[in-house]
Amino acid sequence: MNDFLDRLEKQLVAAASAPRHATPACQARHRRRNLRLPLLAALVLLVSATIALASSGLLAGSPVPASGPANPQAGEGIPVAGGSRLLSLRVADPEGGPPWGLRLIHTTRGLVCLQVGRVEDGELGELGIDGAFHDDGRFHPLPASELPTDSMSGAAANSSCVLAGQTFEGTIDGIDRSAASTASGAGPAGAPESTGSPGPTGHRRAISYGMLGAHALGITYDLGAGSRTATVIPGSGAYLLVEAEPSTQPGETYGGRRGVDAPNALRPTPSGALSAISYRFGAKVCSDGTGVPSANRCPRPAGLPRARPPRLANLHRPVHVTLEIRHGLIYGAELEFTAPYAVTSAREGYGIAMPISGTGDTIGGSIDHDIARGAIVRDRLPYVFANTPVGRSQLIEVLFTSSPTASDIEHPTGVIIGTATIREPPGTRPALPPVPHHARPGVPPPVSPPGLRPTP
Amino acid sequence: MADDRRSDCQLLSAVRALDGEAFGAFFRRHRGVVLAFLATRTNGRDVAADLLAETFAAALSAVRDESRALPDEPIAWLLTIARNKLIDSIRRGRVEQDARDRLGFEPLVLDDGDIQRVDELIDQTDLVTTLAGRLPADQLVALRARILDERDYPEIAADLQCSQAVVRKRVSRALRTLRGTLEAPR
Repeated sequence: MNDFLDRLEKQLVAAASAPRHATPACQARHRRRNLRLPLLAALVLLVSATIALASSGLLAGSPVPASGPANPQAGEGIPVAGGSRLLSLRVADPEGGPPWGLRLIHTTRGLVCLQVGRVEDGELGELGIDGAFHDDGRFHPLPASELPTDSMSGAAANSSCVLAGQTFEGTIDGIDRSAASTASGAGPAGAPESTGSPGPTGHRRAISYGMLGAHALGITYDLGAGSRTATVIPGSGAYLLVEAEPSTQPGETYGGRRGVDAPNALRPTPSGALSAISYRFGAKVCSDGTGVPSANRCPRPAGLPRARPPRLANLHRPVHVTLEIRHGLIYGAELEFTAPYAVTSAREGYGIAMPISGTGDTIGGSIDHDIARGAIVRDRLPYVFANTPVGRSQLIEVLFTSSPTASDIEHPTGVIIGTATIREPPGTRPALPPVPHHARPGVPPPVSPPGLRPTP
Repeated sequence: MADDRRSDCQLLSAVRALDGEAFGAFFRRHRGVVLAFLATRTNGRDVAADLLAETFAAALSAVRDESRALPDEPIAWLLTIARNKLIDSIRRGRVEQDARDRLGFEPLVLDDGDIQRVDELIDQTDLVTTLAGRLPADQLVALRARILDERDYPEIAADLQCSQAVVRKRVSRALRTLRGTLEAPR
């Protein structure tokens, strides 16, 4: 017998037997200790003066195409004019060619992003090799006006965004040496089409990068050749490490942690190739993590807040919900309310919360775009009764949260704008979510009922 | 294939030591109960099968993460992962395959024979009986009513002839057991 259970078991056994590969960032340190493959090369930081690379003389190709329509007032926004800057940091690739570098980007929604790529003639870009850009062998610049989609959510392959005042450390494991990503939905159009297999295994890279803030002094890292230290770029605290990807597993994986650059704050915990990060707070030099450079431990909060979040105030503003009913089936609901507060950046936002009956959990989503004060806001909630026991009511809460300053990022303030309770009208029942056809090659996706937008 | 006589915890510890067959044994032992749990809450056997695959892939990733403690109650922990995956799938309108993608799994393709096999396995599995072997009786009753059947506290309290506070306490204890020492991946 060879049914799907047998096939699934074989895949599980094979994956369980494989040498451990660091998918989450917190595993990476373990992985470094267990490296079996020779590291082809590695190099850290610093300012370009410390690294002398000959120009590779690649011909310039077409710019990397945008991954989607840009909206300056939604999601991460778009880079502000003059807000993109290629950092001086250059890191050699294990196989040579144009070095790797970082671009710092300020967006229209108040985010600060780091973008990783290859550098040629003072521009950040991608290479036409390993299937990318039809192997044209050219350098394809990443336009300074473009950001990959979903950078803040971490879905984008080659960049990460945080709120101004936040810091982060991140990893990209398995990205091709071309710097063109194959991440689903995030890769640029020039990336290889065979998602998950961006090229020969030996040509994939493991990247550690981050932006540790103005107080950061340096990092301690291990790329397989012992522990080393290096300074970070003053001001941003940016760093970049590049090595050959030791894992043979296909695909790209991303990890990362965010924090706040302040004493007694939750700063990013060193992970990936990093073992320690040193900071200067006032006259005191200290380190997070293990090992050198400073024996003084930086002060940290005693732990994550354990207490339940405070009960939010409720403004009791009207929230209107209209059910979408067709042929007796409830496909979703449209929610409407008047915004009492403006949303002008990623620091503020409205959200929808729906407690799941009987579980103590809450599901919901965010309305991720700028909103004028007093504007009518509409949002669609698909399959709104999916978690509601038959015949029961479902509570919907509209929330507003804000983190006006860096110190508020860890504890944003919030308020309930209003609530609505919905019930299944007599003679109706909830439509069931669609069967996932995405996993079946050759089977077309389901057709949404007329008038419905695709399910998010 | 002969049953592996090692306990769940021994199997998961062996997985940490890269004993892949140990996870195979863990999968064979619990695939039925996870499928039975999912099948009562999903629209279609193929969705349940999809969630089953994602659940075990997420569990494997968690076990291989040495920074996490292994669960005290692996079966309860598995069901918590399955429940998280189920909630995510309802919220998103599709079954995610992040965990499988991370492990490089092939897409799941089911034929009629596979669906029949799922049905057989579900028919052979009594979810509550299986859980009864793992949880104290009072916790099991409360947990079954609250989590598996999704009834209200007053209703359960009336059935059990005890106060709502007692029901809440039992459910809370059962949930703690379910969560074990390991946060279940979403």
